[in-house]
Amino acid sequence: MSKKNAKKTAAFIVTLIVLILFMIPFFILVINTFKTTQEFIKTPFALPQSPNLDNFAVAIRRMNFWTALKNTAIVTISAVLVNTLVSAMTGYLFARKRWRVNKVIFMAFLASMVAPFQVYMIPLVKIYAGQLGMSNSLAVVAYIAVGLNIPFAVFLYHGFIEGIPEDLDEAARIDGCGFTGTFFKIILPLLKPIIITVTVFVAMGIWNDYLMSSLFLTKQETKTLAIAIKTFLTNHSAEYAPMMAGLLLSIVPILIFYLAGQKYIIEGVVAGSVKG
Amino acid sequence: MNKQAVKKAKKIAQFAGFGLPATFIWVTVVILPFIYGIWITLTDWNGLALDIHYVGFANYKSVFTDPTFLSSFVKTVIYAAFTVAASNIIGFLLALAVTGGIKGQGLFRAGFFTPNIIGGIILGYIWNFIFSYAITGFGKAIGVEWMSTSWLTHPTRALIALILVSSWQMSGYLMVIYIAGLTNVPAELIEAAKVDGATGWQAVQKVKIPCIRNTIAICVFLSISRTFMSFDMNLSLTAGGPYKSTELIAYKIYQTAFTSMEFGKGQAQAIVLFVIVAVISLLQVYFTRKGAENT
Repeated sequence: MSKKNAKKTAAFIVTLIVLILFMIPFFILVINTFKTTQEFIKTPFALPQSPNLDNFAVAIRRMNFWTALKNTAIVTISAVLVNTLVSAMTGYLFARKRWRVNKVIFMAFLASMVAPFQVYMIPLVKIYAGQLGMSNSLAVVAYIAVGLNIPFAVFLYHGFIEGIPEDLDEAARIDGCGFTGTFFKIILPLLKPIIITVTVFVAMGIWNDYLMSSLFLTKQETKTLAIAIKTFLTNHSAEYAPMMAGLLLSIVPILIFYLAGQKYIIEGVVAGSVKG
Repeated sequence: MNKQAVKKAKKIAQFAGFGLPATFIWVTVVILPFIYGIWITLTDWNGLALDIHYVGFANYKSVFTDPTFLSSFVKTVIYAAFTVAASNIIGFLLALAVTGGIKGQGLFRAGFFTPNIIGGIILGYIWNFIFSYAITGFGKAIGVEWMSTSWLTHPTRALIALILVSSWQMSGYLMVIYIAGLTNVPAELIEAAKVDGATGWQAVQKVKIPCIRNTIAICVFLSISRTFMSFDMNLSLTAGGPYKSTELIAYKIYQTAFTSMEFGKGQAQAIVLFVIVAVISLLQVYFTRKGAENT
């Protein structure tokens, strides 16, 4: 028994060392946010000699941090809300009404999940920024984010609702609920676990998105966090210490979210990619 | 007759209320751009709306005869091969480590997964600083030549850096999927193997790995298609450099379209990427179905 314990302790120590190695980039990031640029270049691995918070103030100003944070939150929250509502309703319709048109659309949804974003990238810019002249609109970015995530969300809602017995719908109908009433009063409350999963996956994707948003959001006041940090880092090429602070600031919101719901987040992110 | 009309109207109303919003958004964001994109590949559009001509398959032809595109394709294959191998092996080993009953398993899982909650742009910049300043500073201090100059200024080393950082991120992700597979392996099977005198590693080889064949297939295909679509880290870590030596395929498409303003050609490259990713996904469906039938 003690041999087994010794083995477990050894495994624990090895895993711990690997985890520390894994986390080194973040340690380096954190310690260097409190240094001056000169100190960072001279001794990047040392602890800061006289820690100060100046870098954060510089980064917040240069990145327009609060505006970027607000924009990211607006896009993410509005896209997630709309996506959840329309996808859950469609998932319900497709699961309960096996009309031919529903089956065809559902299959088309599934097929479209295969395509990488690059296929839509150029036409989306041409249509929404070019012909409709809607660049620098947070609403357009949110709208596209909703659309790109619909197939996956409908797929998960559809699967989950198929697992809910139709007897429940029947009972509700006898009690006088229509199709709409049944969905909002009976089904929607039961969807809580799957809503959490889908929301986490969709929200993380939108929050961290750079490519799609950057095609539309070019003005200082419409930039999201990922775009703001990118411009800050490319435009101020010699002030490394404030840049490190900017990077850390961009991570903090999502890190708080992660600490709060770590279990759901891991499940959601993985459920999203293992759809098959 | 009248009753049927009412029924039909009800059906239309239900579809309009429940199915139409999502379908409409999806059509305008996914389907129309997709069809429109195919049209774009047949034109010489360069960003100026007034100046568009039909050019047939010239864009596709130029994609397949463009040495820079072919070279970025080859680099993507190399990058994908190493990243897929490294991140699957590391991810699997991490999963083994955190399902073995050691203390703080939950914390370890959360820790290894952390890089996946942060966007590729930010991760790429963090590593960019580490490669450009931290490692070089350290290398100069201890006088080691290959650490004194930044890896990102050397073509081969920049690609290696990209592979390292991508594997670092993706292994924590794959770990979680491997954990799900490993926890489904019946404990009796492992016990039985141990009773028969199998060592820990033999139990892994002979029992665990065969039991999670499906999980392995999912992880391998998932990592292949993700590496082929890799963009963010490519942009922030190497920006395709030095001398365009690390332009992976997704990055190349972006450059062709938005830097060279060759939209038709860029879209044709995107269609090529689409075909590659679609084939990978179909293979995945084929292999996982086949695996499911065998077990």
